[in-house]
Amino acid sequence: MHNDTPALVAEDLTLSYGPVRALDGLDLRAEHGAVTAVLGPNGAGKTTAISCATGLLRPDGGSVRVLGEDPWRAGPGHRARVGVMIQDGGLTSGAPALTLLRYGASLHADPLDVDEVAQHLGIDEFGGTLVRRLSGGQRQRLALALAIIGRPDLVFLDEPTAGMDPSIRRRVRTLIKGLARTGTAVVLTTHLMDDVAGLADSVCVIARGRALASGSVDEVISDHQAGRGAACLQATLRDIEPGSLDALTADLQSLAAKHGARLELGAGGAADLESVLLDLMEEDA
Amino acid sequence: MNTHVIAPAPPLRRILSHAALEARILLTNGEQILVAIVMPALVLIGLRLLPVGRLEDVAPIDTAMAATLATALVSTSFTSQAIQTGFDRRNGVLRWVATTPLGRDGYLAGKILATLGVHVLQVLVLSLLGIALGWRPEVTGLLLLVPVWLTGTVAFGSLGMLVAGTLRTEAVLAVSNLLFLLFVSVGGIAFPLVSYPRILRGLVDLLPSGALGELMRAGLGGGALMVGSFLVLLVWAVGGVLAVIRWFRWTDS
Repeated sequence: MHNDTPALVAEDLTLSYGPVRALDGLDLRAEHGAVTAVLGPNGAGKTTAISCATGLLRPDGGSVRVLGEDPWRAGPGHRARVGVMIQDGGLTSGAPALTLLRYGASLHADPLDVDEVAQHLGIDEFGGTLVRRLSGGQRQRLALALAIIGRPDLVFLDEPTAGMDPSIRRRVRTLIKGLARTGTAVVLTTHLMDDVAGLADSVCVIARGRALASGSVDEVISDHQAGRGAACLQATLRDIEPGSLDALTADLQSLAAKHGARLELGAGGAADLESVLLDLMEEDA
Repeated sequence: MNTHVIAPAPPLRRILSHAALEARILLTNGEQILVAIVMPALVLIGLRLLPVGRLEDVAPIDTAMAATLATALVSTSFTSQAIQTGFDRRNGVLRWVATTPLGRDGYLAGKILATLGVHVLQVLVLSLLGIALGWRPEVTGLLLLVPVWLTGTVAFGSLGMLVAGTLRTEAVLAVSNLLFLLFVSVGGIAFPLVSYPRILRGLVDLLPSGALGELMRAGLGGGALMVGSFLVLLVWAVGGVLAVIRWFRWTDS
């Protein structure tokens, strides 16, 4: 059971690598039972922010609390509650996949059932293969399994679906949604807008080490559009008879004209968010 | 609601689990077996058959076994650990373990335990081979070598970690293999100090390999414990650990 305190609260984080300012006053929050996506271009500070939240880096300034603790000083008890999937995998190359997953489980008092997790993510298909012989997508699945094997309260996933084929990606998305539904706070970074639109309860867009926008996907999109002097309403009409499509389109156009709005027909969601992201980057440049 | 206990496994179980993983990787890797068992065995057979590396009044099999066990120690503590840790660093394993209940301390503890475990296995296999070739060890000599063995493991283990934690992975491979060959061939392990030109003797005497080789020969050949050599090895062990604390980098970037 969780209290109302967010699983992750980072405020005004700063961190420099020599002359390079990787984090420049970053604010980031993640709630229990929700998927928070951290978006931004390469070099925006996403991985640095996650490194601070997982205790791998100590920020120069600001504060970060993860499950109420300072991750830099936290001990094994805290680390058991936080699952981490790092970007380059972090997998020992000389071990077979399933051996490594069993090892990861053995570090926890009451882990998930290794065979169930392996089966769910299809790791059993390559369980005896050495990590160094696995494909990129297979490594991603193993790293994801290792991140969740200890039933974490908070899980950090750095580009979890990169390199995965569509069917596995769908399975992974279902798994991530399932984690959030059972109360886990999920923080993920991604470049795939499909991941965000279909998964994230909230997003944080960062660039140059600062948060440019944050909130739910809809909020970020509508705030951004309102800021540009116009709001946007998106509706999806289903079960349309093919024969009445033209008439419906004409009706919609006249309705839009009546209110002085411009009508755009077609797919939305992911594409919208992507354009918001690009606009924000452009404005920040 | 999560009714499960979200807690780490007990510390000892975590460390033993990591040690088992490391030992398994070491023992299932063909190149590592080559370095850990085959090369020391070749040293044993070579020194048993060829009239080199011997000492007056000491049975040739005793000096051969001393060189063999010293080679085995350096191969696992230094070369294997440098290579494995170097790859772990490049693959981000060192970053990942730091986020798990194992942590960096547990990783190091498990690694030391795995090294000692592999050592025991090496000693057993190589001793059996030595016995087959006529070696008749004395228990007192072997017991005297336990502190030498542990100090040597720390000295060479920390040097291995230093190489793994400061150089690029490609350089780790080259440097650790090259230094291993140099330690064994001209660093005082395969050949006793008395067989070196006088001008080199002082230098080799100060190397960790020279000190280890001399101590092993003294222990197995029934000689007196050489305090000077032991101090040299101890200084390398303490210096090595301090250098690792100061310079070891957990990430590749």
